[in-house]
Amino acid sequence: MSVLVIDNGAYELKIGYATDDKNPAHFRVSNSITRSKDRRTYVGNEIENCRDYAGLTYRRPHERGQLVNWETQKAIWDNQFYGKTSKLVGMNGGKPVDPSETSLILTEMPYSLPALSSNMDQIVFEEYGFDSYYRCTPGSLVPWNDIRELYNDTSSRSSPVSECALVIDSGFSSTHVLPVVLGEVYWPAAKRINIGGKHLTNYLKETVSFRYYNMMEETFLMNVIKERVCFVSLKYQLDLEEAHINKRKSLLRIDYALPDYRTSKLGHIVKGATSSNDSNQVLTLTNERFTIPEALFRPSDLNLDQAGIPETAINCVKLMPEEIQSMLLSNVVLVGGNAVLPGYKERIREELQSFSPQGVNLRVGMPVDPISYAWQGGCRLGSQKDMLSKAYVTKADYMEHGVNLCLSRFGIKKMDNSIAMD
Amino acid sequence: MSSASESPSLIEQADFSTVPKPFKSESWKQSNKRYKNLKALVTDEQKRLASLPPSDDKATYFSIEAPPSLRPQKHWCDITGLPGRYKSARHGLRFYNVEIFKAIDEMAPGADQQYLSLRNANVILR
Repeated sequence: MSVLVIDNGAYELKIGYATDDKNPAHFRVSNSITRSKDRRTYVGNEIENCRDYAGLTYRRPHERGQLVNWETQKAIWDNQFYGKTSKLVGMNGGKPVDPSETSLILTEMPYSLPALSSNMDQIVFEEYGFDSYYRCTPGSLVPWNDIRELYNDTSSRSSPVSECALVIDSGFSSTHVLPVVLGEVYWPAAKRINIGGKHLTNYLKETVSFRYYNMMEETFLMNVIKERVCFVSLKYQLDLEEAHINKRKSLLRIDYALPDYRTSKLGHIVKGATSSNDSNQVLTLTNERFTIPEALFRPSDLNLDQAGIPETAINCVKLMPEEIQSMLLSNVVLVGGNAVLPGYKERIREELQSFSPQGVNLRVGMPVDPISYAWQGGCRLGSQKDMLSKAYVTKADYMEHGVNLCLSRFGIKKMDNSIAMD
Repeated sequence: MSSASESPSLIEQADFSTVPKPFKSESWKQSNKRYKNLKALVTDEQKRLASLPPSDDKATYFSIEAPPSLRPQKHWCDITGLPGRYKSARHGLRFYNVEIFKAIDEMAPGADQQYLSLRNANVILR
């Protein structure tokens, strides 16, 4: 019986079989069906074969992080499970996924609507017919990794799961702060900020369209530019003034040569002085580089009445039982796509330090690959069959007891303080 | 009445629906609505929660929203975007200096509300 782990993110799904390897093989697949200007459709990663990225239209199964459109999601999964171009199938010697011989670990957004969760259970068992299934949030998989490695802590771990972790998961649709105790999310303290990578891309798109070129149709390109150019500023006011005063010569200025779709597909950053023989249109970005990601730390910039990531994290910690508050602050883990932004970790550490009580040993850790870290945790869980068998629901049980079994087994558990303090 | 039952009327002859259609799948049904969008789902969830007995300690989709910041808000001039240290008592608009204040003072009625609505601060009395 093999164990398939899917971290079903709104932007990319992370998929692979659970193994004992140090670096288990997994694939990141764009979770979308894309249509190009020449009216061709591309499912998932097939978009890499597209020659012209201009004016792509996306259909995504998720809406604000919630999986609403199963028609699209099923097409993407089928492509991964059975498709000829699927790397997952290729890795397994050309053998497609056989759900009846496979256990599934699947993630969904923290506090997904119950109606959508039970849709998911039904599709997993009734459409695909997986043998057994465990549904959870990406955050709760994180502590299955050995998070001590992130802090260069060499003390050995006694339990298979890290006892305490404050997971800050900044994804595509929203950012979640989840205190995870013994592999379970403590729900009364969990918090969601409605800002994610999608909003940053859209904000950059709008800003650039207002100031320079109309980019409203070029979501794909703006996302690439955001990933290559944006960073989180550690001294925001100073950088802002620097960008304003020294507009032409500022070190913060970057020229980005836009793609012409003949010689380049994605464009590139212009190194050194702008060469005159470069015929591409050039987009010059200065304060856009750091004012856009600043929205993660000050959502009020986007008229969102919520606190930024560090303040929400501290709010969340204060809602926890006092005994474990300092433990959580010494085990902060940053995951999700936005964590890749340069300066993100340092900024969060700096702000958390100023918020946290004196004498707390604040440790902020970021894995090498924050995007797939939750998947890797799922892989660790999946390779420990005895742990997994306690958690999952088998198809026989599902057929016997129905959807309610999954809802009660994987649902929001109310953990009282006595358990949390063990 | 009796003549109609003996020989089929024109309308019965012209009726397609009884003609066998071997090319058509028996099980296929057109569905007009494919899926519910999030807005509808969230409304359903609100209704469901309202029907449950109230309890404080249960986390819901809505309760895990992060609260607003406790730090003092930054103030910006509504006209220029510069730091807005002053607030016009009559209009509620923030402004940078006297020059801007004069411009605000001479504004046509209603224009101030438009500026306020840019930052969701306009008050609409019903």
